[in-house]
Amino acid sequence: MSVLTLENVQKAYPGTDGPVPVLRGVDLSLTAGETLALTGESGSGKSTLLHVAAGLEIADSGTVAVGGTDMATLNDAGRAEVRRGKVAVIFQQFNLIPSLTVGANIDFQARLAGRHDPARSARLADALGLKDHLQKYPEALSGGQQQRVAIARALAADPALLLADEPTGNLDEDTASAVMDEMLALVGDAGAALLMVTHSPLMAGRMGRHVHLHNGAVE
Amino acid sequence: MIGTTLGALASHWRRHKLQLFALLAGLALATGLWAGVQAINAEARASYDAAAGTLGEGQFDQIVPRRGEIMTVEDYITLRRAGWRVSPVIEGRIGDVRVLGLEPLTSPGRFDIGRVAEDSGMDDFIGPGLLFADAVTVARLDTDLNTGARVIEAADAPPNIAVGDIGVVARLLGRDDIDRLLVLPDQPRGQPPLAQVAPQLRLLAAAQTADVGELTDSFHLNLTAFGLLSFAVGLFIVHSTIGLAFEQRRGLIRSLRALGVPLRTLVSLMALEVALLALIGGALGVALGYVMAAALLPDVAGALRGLYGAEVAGSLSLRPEWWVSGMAIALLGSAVAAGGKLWQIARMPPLASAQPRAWAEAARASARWQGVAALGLGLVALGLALFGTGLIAGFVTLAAFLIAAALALPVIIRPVTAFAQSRAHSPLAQWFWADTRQQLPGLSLALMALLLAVAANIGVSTMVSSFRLTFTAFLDQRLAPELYVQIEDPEEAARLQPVMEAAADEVLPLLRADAVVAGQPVQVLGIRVGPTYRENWVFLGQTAAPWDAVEAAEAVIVNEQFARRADLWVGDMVPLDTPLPVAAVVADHGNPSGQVILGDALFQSLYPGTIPRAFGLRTDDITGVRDRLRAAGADPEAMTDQSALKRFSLQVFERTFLVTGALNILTLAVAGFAMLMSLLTLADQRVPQLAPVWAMGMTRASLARLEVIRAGVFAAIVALVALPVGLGLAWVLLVRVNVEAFGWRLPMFLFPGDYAVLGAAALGAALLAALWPSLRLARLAPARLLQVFAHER
Amino acid sequence: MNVKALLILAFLWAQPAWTQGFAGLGTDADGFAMPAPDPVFDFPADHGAHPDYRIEWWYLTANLTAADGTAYGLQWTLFRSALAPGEAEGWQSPQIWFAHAAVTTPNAHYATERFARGGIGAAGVQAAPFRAWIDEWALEGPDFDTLQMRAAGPDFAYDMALEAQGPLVFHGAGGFSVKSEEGQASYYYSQPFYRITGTLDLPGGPVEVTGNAWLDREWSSQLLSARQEGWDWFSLSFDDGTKMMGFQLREGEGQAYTAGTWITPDGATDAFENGMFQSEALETAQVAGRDVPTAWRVTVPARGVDVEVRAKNPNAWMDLSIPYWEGPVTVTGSHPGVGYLEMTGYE
Repeated sequence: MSVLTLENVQKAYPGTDGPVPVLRGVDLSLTAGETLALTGESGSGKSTLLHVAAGLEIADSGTVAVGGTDMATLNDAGRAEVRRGKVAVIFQQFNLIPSLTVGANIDFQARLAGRHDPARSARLADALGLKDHLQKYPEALSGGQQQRVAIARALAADPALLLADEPTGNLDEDTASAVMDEMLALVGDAGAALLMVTHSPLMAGRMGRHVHLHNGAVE
Repeated sequence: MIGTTLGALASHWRRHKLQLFALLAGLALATGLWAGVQAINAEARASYDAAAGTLGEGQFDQIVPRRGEIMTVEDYITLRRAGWRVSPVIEGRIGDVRVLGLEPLTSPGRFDIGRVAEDSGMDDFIGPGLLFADAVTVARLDTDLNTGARVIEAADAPPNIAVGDIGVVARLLGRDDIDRLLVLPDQPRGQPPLAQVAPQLRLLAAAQTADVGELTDSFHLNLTAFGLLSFAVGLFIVHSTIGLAFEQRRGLIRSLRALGVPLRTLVSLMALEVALLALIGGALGVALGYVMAAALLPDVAGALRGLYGAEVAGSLSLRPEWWVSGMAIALLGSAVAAGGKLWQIARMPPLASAQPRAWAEAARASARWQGVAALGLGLVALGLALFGTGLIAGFVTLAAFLIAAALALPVIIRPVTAFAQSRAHSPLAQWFWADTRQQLPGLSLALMALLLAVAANIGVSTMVSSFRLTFTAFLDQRLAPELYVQIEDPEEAARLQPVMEAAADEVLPLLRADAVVAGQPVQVLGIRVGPTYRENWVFLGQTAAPWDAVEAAEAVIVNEQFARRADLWVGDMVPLDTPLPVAAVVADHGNPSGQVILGDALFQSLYPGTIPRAFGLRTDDITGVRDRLRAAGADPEAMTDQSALKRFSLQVFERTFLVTGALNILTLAVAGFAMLMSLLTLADQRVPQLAPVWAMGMTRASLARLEVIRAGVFAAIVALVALPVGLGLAWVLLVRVNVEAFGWRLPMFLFPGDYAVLGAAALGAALLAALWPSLRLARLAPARLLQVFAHER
Repeated sequence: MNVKALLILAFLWAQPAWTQGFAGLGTDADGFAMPAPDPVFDFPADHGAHPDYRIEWWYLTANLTAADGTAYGLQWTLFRSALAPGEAEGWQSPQIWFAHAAVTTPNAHYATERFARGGIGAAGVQAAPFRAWIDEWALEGPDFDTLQMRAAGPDFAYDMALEAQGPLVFHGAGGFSVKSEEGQASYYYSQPFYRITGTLDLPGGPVEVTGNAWLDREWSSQLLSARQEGWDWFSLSFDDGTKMMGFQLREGEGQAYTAGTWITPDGATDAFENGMFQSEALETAQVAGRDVPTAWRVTVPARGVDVEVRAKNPNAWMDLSIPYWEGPVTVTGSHPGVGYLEMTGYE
């Protein structure tokens, strides 16, 4: 079953000399349990594609369907509901809510989605080595720990689709590798589909499928 | 290098125009309120000084004719030739303008030499003559005066008074007598007593002519306190904007230092920048203050004239004492706000982290000292409230109490939000409260400002409303007679008294003498005890049958002012010629002076031959009695009916309250503005805090709604805290300050309705302030939110 | 600036004259009568006021001695200053009167002043019987030779009797006293021969005193030239009975116009031409924040006079509306004696 379907998706940003096309008709599909690496040089549209898939931005044309729901048919609130219920996003940085503790951050999206399972959260925290940090605030954690919290939070919500934008981009090589191992293992356990934007061939190589984006189109 | 560095520093303001606006507006508002109040005070003081300087009122003993007599130039010469150094004064009115004739050669303080009016030659004095007046009065007189005298403008002339040589004024008024003689302080040796030289004249001691400045001091002290409060509120804005601007420029500062700008240069340039901004903001503020003072001054002038009979110019002049103080306080306030930050920069290693310190982290460190400071100041306020004496102590109590409350505010709000968070079930609610707590440091200055404003509003409105309630009751009690008649001379009294006795149901003659009792200058009043007094007067303290005792000449009634100043209460002996006990103490809100009230028989034995100067008449037929008195030759001008008197008295107080009311609204508006500015300047910092929540499935609209609700929650907590603070303020004002300033203690009434309205106003101000930043958030481009997470598209 | 001061200034010295010569005495005199040479005086009428002239004074100084030998000085002066020539009744009178009274003791100097409008009877001078008064102060008697004099201030008072022991003396050319090269002049005569006795009422108690008094009468409409800044005026009574009046009118840069009169014990006079009377400051004292010369060398070579004139009390500053120095002096040298010194224009 297709968790994410993109058909002929186009997206442009306003520029000084008229619209600058970023996505020029992208087709992409992702089924449950599948892991996909999205690579491409800077400005190729990787992040935009991910934002459109998450409903954070709207495509200019084409179809974006998450779990069979066409995003174009939804208003802002509807898209927010999709984000709450079906999708989880992990960004390169600033994923966490600074005013909440690590524990509350992990639970936050699951509770928003109404799928809070304390046992699951505890398991994830344990697996990601966050057990001793649950009462701390994000600012007290290292970059790697903060990204682990973001991963735990995303998976605690048990999303059908996990979108990650350079989740290890801000980390050193060893940490990045460890975090990636943990994330892939947990995604596999959860049976979620993972779409990950990365520019690292090493990371891309660990994913099930690999799509290269060039100048706004799949190569 | 200096130019380049300044350009780099200024680029911050170019990019953050809103911050610049907040800073300048905050400075302007703070300075404006302060300078405005100072301007009003300065104008009033200048008017008193001009009046006291010209009229000698309150400064000099005076010689006036005994009742029914007039004083001639020959009397003046007789006194001078007997060695009395006196100076004649004549006064009258031309149209609405009071015209005062002085004898410049002998009048006191002759030779305080200043600038001379170059074009006013002496021939003009002896010929058609000259009058001096301020610009407004000159304009007014020009149309009224067709007598050939020339009116020239003198900047420091007292308001609504034209002054000229006694010869000129006597000719203008068509008079050849003298109204009064000012007695100079230095008198020669061997001077014979007045009774021997001129028995038809009498000497009035300076103490008996009230000093306007002293009476009005408390009024101005109130205004000054308000000005200071407003300035404090405005300074909160300045403090938070400057703080923010410095925090946001840490990166820039690091870069500049790394690029080789010496620390000293950098700090100096930043100080220069702050000074420049302070000058601009201060100048705007002075202009604002001018506008405000010009708008309020007519009401202040009206209130002062009504309350104390003090003439204050209705127009404003740009006096250095207030605009300089406005600029100085703007510079000082900015220096205080920037000083700490500059010190930090001066000590910062060149490559210290450019990351703005988290607000929360800074707040946790400062929360502790804030709590300690609040506690300390609270104790000071409590100690002063219990043991302090004097007006200054009263105001220091107020200041300490208010600052303590403001500092305590974050300490109070923090546990409230923590508690709410712990009780919240939904994740959104939990996040809301957690986030609210995190917002606290950034907003606490604005919230403190709001607290001060709301508390001041509650305090002042409680005082004003208590005052009004008490005063209205007092008027009903005191102004029972339906008609009042003023009497000119003994013949008129003899002529009219039988008419009054025949026409009215009850006649209440009022005998009056000025005296010094127990070291206090007082009015001694003689009254005819009757049903009107017995039924209407309410006492603060009394014996079983006070009126019987007064009627039997066995006791006296004193007013509260005298009782407090002389430290006498019911049962204590009043040191009259024959000491008598106090039978009752009556609240008296009508005048600032002490009164001792006697039965008329006792009064006549103490002050034989005194004729009543005023009568109160009880009647159901006011017009009928009026007509009969007019037919008997009474001056219609000298008859006042009670309703007119009440209306006038209440009007006077309304105008006083109007001024404080206007200042209240302005203070609240400034607090609302502080909140708006804080929210707007914090909006940029909010984006990274809100972006993850948005990414996890909240719409921007619902986030914006939560922002508004958050402001409302803050305002509600502030309003709740402000209530006890405001009531405390009112208590200090009524029980401490008022007693010191006016000599009477006002009972404190509570006005829950008013407080609800004020709370709603505070809530409204906060919601209004949150509206714009929230709208901006609701319309924020997703791209701006996404930028938080990555720099790459 | 307060209105009163404005009124006063406009009243007294309304023309911008304040900076021009001392106390405006150098201004033009349009409308006022001018002194002319070869005067014919009419007594007693000329002892009275001359309202057509701008300024006039009755100026009495006295060197006094108490029973214990302590020396005192005394001053009683009545000035008339007209805003316009002539007299009018009531407040409209253009005449302004002011008076100074002072007593100088070895350690103290008491001075006070009075002001009065003309026309209303507060002050004036009547020729016969002679009566000059302002407020309760007075100099009066049946004639100019026999006078009673009194004045009082907050801290002193005096009551004196005067008896003339010699004739009036006339200065300059028969009473026409020239004051500058440009020809400014006044009518000027004196009665320097008063025998004076009376009581000084001082803070320490009453003091009986006797001594000699010198009364100057002078009136003019333009006394000083515009160049003149002030004057030093000496009235000296030598132990041999001779008296000498001398003054220099300072014109800046060391220039001065001088004049004087040599008076023999029987009242015969000899006027000094400009330059015959010479005075030279020997010492200055800090008085009221100014440097005032309080010791002088006075020489009149033609008369063999070479004396040192020294203030008995250097602090004899008249701290009044018009400030100046006036006090008793001791004379030593060729002609020992006592006298009075007046110095104006020391700013």
